Amino acid sequence: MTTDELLSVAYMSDATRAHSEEDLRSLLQTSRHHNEAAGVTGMLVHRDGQFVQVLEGPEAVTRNLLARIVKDPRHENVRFLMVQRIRRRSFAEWTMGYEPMTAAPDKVPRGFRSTFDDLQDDDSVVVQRAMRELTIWFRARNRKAGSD
Amino acid sequence: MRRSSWVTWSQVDEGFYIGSRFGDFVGYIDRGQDGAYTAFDLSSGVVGSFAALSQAMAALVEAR
Repeated sequence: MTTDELLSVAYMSDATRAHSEEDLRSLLQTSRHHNEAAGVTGMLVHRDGQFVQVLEGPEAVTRNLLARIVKDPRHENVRFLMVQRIRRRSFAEWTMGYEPMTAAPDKVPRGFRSTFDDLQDDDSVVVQRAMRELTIWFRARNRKAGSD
Repeated sequence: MRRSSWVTWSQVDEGFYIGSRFGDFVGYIDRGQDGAYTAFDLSSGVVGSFAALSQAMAALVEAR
């Protein structure tokens, strides 16, 4: 495999039912097992019944995985945020990192943008920035959890 | 124009904020359980800890 065959895909979807943290951890255990064997890495964020997932891996493997994920009845309304070929993984350390996010905050400080809203913006530049913000948040939260 | 007015601030999660200027991130702010706002550069180095969000924002802008 050469590094330029890597594909990164980010999508958002809606849970079809409420998932407990225990449900999610069980789902993650299965997905990590498969991802490790397939050379797939990424992250999953859950907030208030919505998922944001990033998958990165060999292109054919990642596309096959996505085809299965889209059909998974545990979620619906899958919206692709970014699909791009990458030379370097952003989540190489995680077969599927996971961080729960606080339920939608009541208010965003005046003059601030909402990253979660920006993920669904029509402007791809805004979506790319929001994805980078989410990645920074994910790494910071993960680092903090590891140090607690 | 003040430099701070060039920074776009986003709330990623409750108590977690990121600033960017012309596409470059200036750092992030994480509110701790004690209510203090700690500002970090993008290497996760601590820039400082502050009582108010506005102070943490100013510290990141000035650090750049």
